[in-house]
Amino acid sequence: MALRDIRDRVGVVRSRFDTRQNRSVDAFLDDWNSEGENSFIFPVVDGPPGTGKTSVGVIAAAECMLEQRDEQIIYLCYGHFATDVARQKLFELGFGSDQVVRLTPDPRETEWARGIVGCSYNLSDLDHNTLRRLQRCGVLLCTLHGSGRAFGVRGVRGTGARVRHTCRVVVDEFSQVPPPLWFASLIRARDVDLNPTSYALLGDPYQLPVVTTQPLLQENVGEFVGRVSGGGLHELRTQHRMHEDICDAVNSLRDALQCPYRLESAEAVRRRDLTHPELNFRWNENACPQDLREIVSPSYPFVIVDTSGLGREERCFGGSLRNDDEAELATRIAMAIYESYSRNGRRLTPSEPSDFKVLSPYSGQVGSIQQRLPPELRGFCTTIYRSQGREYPCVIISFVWNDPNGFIGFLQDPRLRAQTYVGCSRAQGKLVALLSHRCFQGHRDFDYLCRTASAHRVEARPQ
Amino acid sequence: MNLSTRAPVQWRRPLRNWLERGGIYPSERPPFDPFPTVSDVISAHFCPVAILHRLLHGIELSPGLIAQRGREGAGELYHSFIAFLKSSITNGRLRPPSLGMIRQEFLRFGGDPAILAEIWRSYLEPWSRNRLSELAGISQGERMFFEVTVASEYVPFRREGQTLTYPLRGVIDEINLDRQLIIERTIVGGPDDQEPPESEARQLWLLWKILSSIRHDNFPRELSEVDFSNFHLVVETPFRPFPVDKQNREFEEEVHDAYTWIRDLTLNPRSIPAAYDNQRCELQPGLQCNFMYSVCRRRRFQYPRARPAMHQEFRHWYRPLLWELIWDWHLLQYKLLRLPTNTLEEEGWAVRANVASFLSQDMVELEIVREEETGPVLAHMQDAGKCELIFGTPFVGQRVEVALQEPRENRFVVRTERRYILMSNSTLILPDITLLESRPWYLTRNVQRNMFRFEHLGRENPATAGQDSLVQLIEGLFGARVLRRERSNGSP
Repeated sequence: MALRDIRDRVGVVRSRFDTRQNRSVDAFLDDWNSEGENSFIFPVVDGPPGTGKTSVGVIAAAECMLEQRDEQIIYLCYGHFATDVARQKLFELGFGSDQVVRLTPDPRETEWARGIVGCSYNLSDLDHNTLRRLQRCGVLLCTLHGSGRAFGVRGVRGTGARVRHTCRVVVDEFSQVPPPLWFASLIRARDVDLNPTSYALLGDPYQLPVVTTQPLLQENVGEFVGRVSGGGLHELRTQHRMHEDICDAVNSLRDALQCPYRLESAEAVRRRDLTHPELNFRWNENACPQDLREIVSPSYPFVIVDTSGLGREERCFGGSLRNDDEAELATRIAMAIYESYSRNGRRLTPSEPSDFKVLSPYSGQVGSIQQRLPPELRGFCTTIYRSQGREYPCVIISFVWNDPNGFIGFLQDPRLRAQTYVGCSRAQGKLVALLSHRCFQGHRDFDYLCRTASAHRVEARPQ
Repeated sequence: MNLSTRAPVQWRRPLRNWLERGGIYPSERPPFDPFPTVSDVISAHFCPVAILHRLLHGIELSPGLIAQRGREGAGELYHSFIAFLKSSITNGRLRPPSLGMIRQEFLRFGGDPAILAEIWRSYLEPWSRNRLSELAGISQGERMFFEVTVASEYVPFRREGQTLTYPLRGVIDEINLDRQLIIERTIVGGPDDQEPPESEARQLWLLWKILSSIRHDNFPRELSEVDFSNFHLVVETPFRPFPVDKQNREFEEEVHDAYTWIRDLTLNPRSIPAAYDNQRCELQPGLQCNFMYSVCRRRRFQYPRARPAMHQEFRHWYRPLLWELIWDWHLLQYKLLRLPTNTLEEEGWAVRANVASFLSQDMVELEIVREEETGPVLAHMQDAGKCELIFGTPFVGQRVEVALQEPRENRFVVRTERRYILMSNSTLILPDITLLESRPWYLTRNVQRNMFRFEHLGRENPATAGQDSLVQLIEGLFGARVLRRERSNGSP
C-alpha cells in the first residue's frame, strides 16, 4: 500500500482517538532528551482492556515510520502472541513485510509474506541480504527474552546498508514484565552500540501479572518506574470493545481487583451485541438445540452458566486441569454457535481474527475441548494466556473447577487471578462464563462477577 | 593455595509430601537445598566467587578453561559432532571413515564455515587423526550412548571416616557398553600434556560417583544388567585419551567444601563477603581463570553516577531469581527421582510415551501411553512451544528437547536437534514450564546474567555519558535526573 494511503488511515485513526490517546502517541514520539538536560521523557501508558493501548503503540510506530526517520522501532512484548497482535495491527494499517517484521527463535517459521523471520539468537544463520532487509525495516517485533535478535539487527556490520545506530524501544503488556527482565533486555542494545532515542511502556497493571514465587519480584516494570521516579501515567479510560453488559462484568472484576477507576464505554459499542451491523452476526434459532438457546441467544450479551451440577475437575499433563463434563458442555455450546450463527453471510471461522473463541485458564481443558471438536474447528479453542491482546465477537470461558470444598487453584492466587479479568474482557458482543457457583462462591472476584446486574443466569444440568 | 575449609553441611532435601501437588506453597526462600550439577560442584571447588557468579548472576563459564575469543560454543559443537559421527558409524551410514570424509561431514554439519574451519583445524582434525584406527574398529550396532544424564539424590562422599550424601546431576559425554568405557571429552589440553585437565578428570569422577550410587532398578531396561564398577574412566582431549583413577581420596574430602559454598551462597547474603575473602586468584597470584577479566576485574566506569543506588535495587533481585529457579527446576529434579512414574503421571509432571517411528534424523513420532492425555499434551506443547523428553529413566537417560511439529490422531511428530542414537524407545515427556504455568525455567538464568551486565554498563567520558540514553535512563530512574511522562507543553 502506498505511504499516502497509510498516512490517511493513520490520520483517520488519530481523529477517532480521544485526547488521552493522542497525548500518549505524542509522548511516544518525543525523544528522551527533548526537554533539556535535567529531565528524561519516559511515557508509561495504563490502558485497561479495549482502551486501545496497543493501537496507541502501533499508531506511534506508524507515525514514526511515516516521518521517514531512519530509526527502527523495537517493539517488545512478554509473549509471542502479543507481538503477533501488534504485527497484525500494523499490517492492517497497510504496512508490509518490508516495513514490519516479527522475529522468532525458530528459522522454520520464516514467512516473509507474513512478516515473520525466525533466526538464532545471534542472527548467525541469516545471510546479508536478509539482514539488510531487516536493517531497513521500520518496526521489529520480538519478545523481551529474545530481544537480542531485534537489537542485534542494526549491530551487524558489513551488510552494505547504511543505518543509524538508534532505535525506539516500546514494551507492550508491561504488567507481565518484571524490572529484571526489562533491564536484561535493554543491555542487548548496548551489546551492539545502539543508543535508543526513546523508551515507552504500555500495559494494564491489572492484566496478567508477573508470575513468580518471589514477593520481591512481583512488581511489574510500570509499577517500578512509578515507584522509583514518582512519575505519572497516561491513563486511558474509555473502552471501545465491549457491549456495556460485558463492560459491567469487567468493571465488577476491576472493583474486585481494587482498580482506581471504572471503565467508560464508548457510545459506538455501548449497545453493540452480536447482531449489531458492525459485528453482523445472524442467528438461526432453529439450528440451535433447544436446551442451549437461552445460552446462545444474542439477546443476552453476558450469560453465566452454573455448572455446579456437573462433574469434577481432574489433574492432567503439565500439572494442568481438565473437567470432562464442562468440556463437553463447552463443546456443545461451541458447536451450537457454529451451527446456528452466520456472519456476513458465511459460516463462522476459527482462523484469526476468529469469530468466536472458547477460552480456559487451563491448557489441559483446552486440549480436552479440542479433542471433542472436529479437527477443522479446533482453532476455536485456546488458553486465556494466548488470548491476551486479542478480541473476539463472542467468548465462552470454561473455568474448570468444581471442587466441593471450594478450592479453585491458581484462580485465587493473587498473582494469577487476573486470568479471569483478561478472559472476560476479550469479548465484544457476547460472553458466556461456565463456572460452578458452589465451588466459586466466597472467592472475591467471582462473587463480584456473579453479582453483575447485567448477567443472565442459567443452570447447566448433567446430560 | 589456602582456601578456608568450611564445615560440611547436612543437605536439606524436600519432604516427601512437599513433592506432591498442594504439598507446599512455593514462595520466598525454599526450605530445601538446591539440586546441584557436576559443573556447580567443580566451580565451587575451583573458587567460591566462581560459584557465586554462577548461582546469582547466571554466569556459567567454566572457571578453569580460558575461552578464546570467537571460540565460544566450540566445545558444544565438538561434542555433538563426535556423537553424530560415531552414531553414523554404528548405524552403518559411514564405513570406514577417512580423515577427508570426516572433514566433509563436519563442514556439512551446520554453522558458520569460518568457525567450522577453525574448530576443525584446532580440535577435530587432531582428534580424528588420533582416532582413525579406533573409528575403523567400531562395529555396526556397537552399543554406545551419548549425552546421558545421570542423577542421584544420594551420592556418598567420605570425609574423615564418615560418609555424607548429596544430590548431584550431570551429563556423561559417552558410555560405551561393549568396550566398558565412560568418556569425558574436552577441547582443553595440548599435544604435549602428560596429565588430563584437572577439572575434567574430577568431573568424570563425579559422574562415575553418581552412576555408582544409582540402584539398578532405576536404570533403563537396556542397561539393567550392566555392572559399571568394571568400566574404565577416560578423559579424552583432542590429542590423546587419559585414564582416570576411580579412587580420588583428596577430591572426595574437598567436595564437601564445594557443597557448603553452594548452600551458603544460595541461602545467605552474608556469605558473599566470605566468598570474596576466599577468592582463589587473591590467594594464588598468577592463576589463570575465565572469570578474571570478563567478570571479576571488569572496568568500573565513572558514569552513571547513580550506579550505587541502582545496585541497591538490583541486589534485592539476584537471590530471589535463584530461589525462583530452585522452586521451578530443582524441585522438579527431586520429584523426578523420588516419585514413582504413575504418581508423576497422576500429578501431571510427566507422561509416558513410546516412539512409534523415527521418521528422519530429527523427526520422531510419539504415541502417548494414556490416550486421554494426548489432548492436554498437545495443547501444552502448542502453548509452551516445546517439551523435554527423557529416553531412559530420570536417573539414567538422554534428555532431549523437542518442539511439536505435527499433531496426528492420538500421535504426534516432534522435532529434535539430537543426532545420536537413543538408548530407549520409551520416553517420559516433561512439561517445559514452571510451577505456575508461565514460562520456561531456563530463561531465568539469562535474566540473571543480563541484569548483572546491565548493572555494569557505563561511560567514562562525561560528554559521551550525557548523550547516552541508557546511562541517562539510569540517572533518571535512580539519580538526580527527573523522569517525566511527556513534555511539559504537552500537559493540558
